[in-house]
Amino acid sequence: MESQPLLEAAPVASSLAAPHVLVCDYGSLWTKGALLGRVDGVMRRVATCAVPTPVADDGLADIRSATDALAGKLRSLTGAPDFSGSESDERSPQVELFPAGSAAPALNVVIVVPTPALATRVEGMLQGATYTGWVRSGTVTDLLVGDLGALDAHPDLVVLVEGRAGYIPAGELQLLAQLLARTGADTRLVPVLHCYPEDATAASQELLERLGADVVRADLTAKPPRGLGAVRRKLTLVYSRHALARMRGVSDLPLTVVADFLSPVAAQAITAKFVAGALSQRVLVLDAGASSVTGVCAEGADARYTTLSGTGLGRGAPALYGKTGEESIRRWLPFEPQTDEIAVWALNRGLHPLSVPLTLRQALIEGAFMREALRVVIEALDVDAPPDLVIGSGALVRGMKPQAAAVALLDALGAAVPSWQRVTLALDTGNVLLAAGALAAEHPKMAAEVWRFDGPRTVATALAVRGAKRNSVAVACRPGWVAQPANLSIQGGELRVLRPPFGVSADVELTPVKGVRLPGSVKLQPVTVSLQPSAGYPLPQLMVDARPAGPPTGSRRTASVLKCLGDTGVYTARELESV
Amino acid sequence: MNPLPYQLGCSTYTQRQFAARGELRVQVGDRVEPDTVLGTEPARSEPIIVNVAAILRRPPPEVRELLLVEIGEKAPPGAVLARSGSRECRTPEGGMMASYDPVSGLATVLRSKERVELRANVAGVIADLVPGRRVVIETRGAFVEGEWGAGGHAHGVLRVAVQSPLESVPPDELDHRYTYSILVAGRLLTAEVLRRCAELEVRAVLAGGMLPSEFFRFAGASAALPAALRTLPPPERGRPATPAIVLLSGFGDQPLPDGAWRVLRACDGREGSLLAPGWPAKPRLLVALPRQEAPDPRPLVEARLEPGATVRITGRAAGSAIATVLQHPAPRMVLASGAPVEAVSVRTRDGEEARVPLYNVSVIENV
Repeated sequence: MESQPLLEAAPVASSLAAPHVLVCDYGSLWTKGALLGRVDGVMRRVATCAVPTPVADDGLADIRSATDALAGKLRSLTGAPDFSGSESDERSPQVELFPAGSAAPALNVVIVVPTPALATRVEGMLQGATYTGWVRSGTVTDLLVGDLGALDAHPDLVVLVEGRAGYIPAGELQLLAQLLARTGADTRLVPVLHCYPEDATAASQELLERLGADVVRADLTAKPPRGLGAVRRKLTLVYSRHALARMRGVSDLPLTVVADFLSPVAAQAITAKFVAGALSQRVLVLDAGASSVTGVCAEGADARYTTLSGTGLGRGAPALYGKTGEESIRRWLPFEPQTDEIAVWALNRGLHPLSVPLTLRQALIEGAFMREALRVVIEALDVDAPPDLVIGSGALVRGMKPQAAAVALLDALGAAVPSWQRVTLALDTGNVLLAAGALAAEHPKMAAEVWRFDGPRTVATALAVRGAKRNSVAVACRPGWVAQPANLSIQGGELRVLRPPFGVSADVELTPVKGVRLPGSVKLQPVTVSLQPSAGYPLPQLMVDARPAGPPTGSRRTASVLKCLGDTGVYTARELESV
Repeated sequence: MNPLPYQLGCSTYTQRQFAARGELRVQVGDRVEPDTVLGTEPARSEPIIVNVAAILRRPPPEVRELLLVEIGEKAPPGAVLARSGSRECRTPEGGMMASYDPVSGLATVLRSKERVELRANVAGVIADLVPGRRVVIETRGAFVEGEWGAGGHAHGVLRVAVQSPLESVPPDELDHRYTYSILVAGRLLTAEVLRRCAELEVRAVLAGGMLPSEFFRFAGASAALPAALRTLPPPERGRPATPAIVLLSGFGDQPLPDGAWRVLRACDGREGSLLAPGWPAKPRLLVALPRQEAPDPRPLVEARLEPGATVRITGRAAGSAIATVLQHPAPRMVLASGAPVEAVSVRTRDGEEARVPLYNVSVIENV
């Protein structure tokens, strides 16, 4: 991140009982841990690592074993003594544990609506709110008569939606009671969320109050819906509580658990909102995981998020392939794949989700999947305006080098939001995006400290050039670090990187040619971009993107993708020759 | 536990349990076959709700007069509950007509009090049981674990249809010798072989690999993913049932692993049971062998990654995918993608020494 103080250094809160904090993100495939501790009186990230999430014989994630493995690995990395913190030994440092994760099975949800026309609409609104498995929606009658198998398996949550467009009539209350009994909601084993407007009463109120239903005052039947954010947040909270009950070893964790289980996307949303407010920017956070891809868009005090559950780069690879199709993956490749090559990669990655690409060819296929995963989640977010700052996390950080990740972010952004103009690209290399969000609920100032010192690293500033003709000069550049004033030119169709020597602060002057639009340039006047190294931006670089907006198309697609990878330094010419 | 995938002369334990509570008919020490009924439990008792008014397209209050089954009367499966002109409303299952709601137009039918059988699905001996809940069946003989499988469970005589793990059986060589069998089809499975197996009522098919294009031809388009990896598509109306499928190496053109080949050849002609619940669970083939062939079976051996172990490397071409571990752990390596990862040093069958990512390695034989 560029070095703007997000918060003045605050005194360390005395309420932290232990010298260390461990934020564990229990993923379906990997358990990631961020160990935080006081360094010179300031809360800092001490170490991060990841271990595969063990699975118990019944197929559920074993988070006790995951925590033990993670603690052992952190101990070997940091030399920290006994993590288990025996109560009988006062000298043993103890660790406060902040748990988060998506390792629990996804939520299966039944949505009850008053009229059939609302079923698809409400289902669409709530999709992506949290890690959902199957969703069944319909009127009371439709659900009772419909697929008995699904209801007999018992959903994890029942959502009853009422509002101005319709209420469950008193005559159907008997059937509603029957439906709630079928789903297990009558015994409070399955929570019920009752959504209806602030100023209204519903005939179903009394019945649902008796069942202990959670009430959210919202009208999802209105156009536009009101209170949707509150309902989505409730779903995330239900997942967090549900997750506790659906993983092994929860009650047996060796460390002191000090906070509720948080879903990763909720923790990221907390951090994104904080950053958006502090920097007064539109922030987009993208996390590509093994079994889910999440996106958070924050501006001011608002944050919107979506989760594509079951779709990812590990176990979720087959679902991603099925969702986007062969051609969508192929267009990002700098070579023509053999028959079945992409599908084999996707299906076998689903069988061996922990495996990594062995060859550059396999890595490029993985990169193509990454771009599609990010594109799909950005489109699902349906952002109103292009972001100012994009932060990548997950496999973007763990699975590829920073330059490759920066180009992947830019490619996905260009495909999903072609109107972007200027954006800062950052990577959560310190793995604190989730840690800060999880810590913020209990210790907000400490979270801000961690973010300030160990937050994401900016990897590039990017500018979009529009209206350029392929292979014709689009922008003339004058980099200030060249001793003799030198003019470079960037042609249409290129993605070029301008980078000053290490440690040098310099400006780049960019002048568009006639017909070309450059952000900040009025009437063909030059634009100056300052590249200054700092703690949060140690290797500043400017990416000038003169490619056509949108994903690569056309017969010269592979050549242009290949050229882009070479021009941006992601791979050397020799490496790309081997592909 | 992570067992070695191909074992001969071992004991495996399979748990079978009721959905809720039931009555067991077996005791510890009883011999069972796959079709043996271990016990029964009551069928689910939730009522069937039928939207009679909607099916007949008549207003709910009018339907009351059109009912052909009175409240309290029993109706067999498929019985006509009500009729209006040419439209009929039938009950999907047998039961008693419990009520009709003239406001909603819904009829409630209470299911007959049937009992559901719990079958063994594997051959063996009852090793342990929890009364009313579950049993554990010990199978002495052979164990083969695949990389992907679906189709539920199947049992039959194991028939190896090829002479080497590199061959693939052509569909026209399959005939009624393979009916009701668990067929080992060789290296590469195709949609044609699967269709031929369905015609012959082969119960299950094992192969080294299958091309995705063949899989999609059989299972529907790629858009059927990921559901198609969990549950095989039902056969078309009037077509024979789909056999269960197991891929021992994964997707793509991959040979039958040598270790699996040895075990399968040794079990050719024996009764086997296949458990393929669907991805991400791995499929397992259990073959019960007589005592003289498995006199002192040992429990399943756990895979151990250590110098000298034989491993399969995911992501390598078939020719260089099998290797021997030289050093574990080895110094970290940097991948082509730029990511640093933990590594293992190996020597492949053709003598190449290399470091490979730790998580791309799976042990197929211990030291």
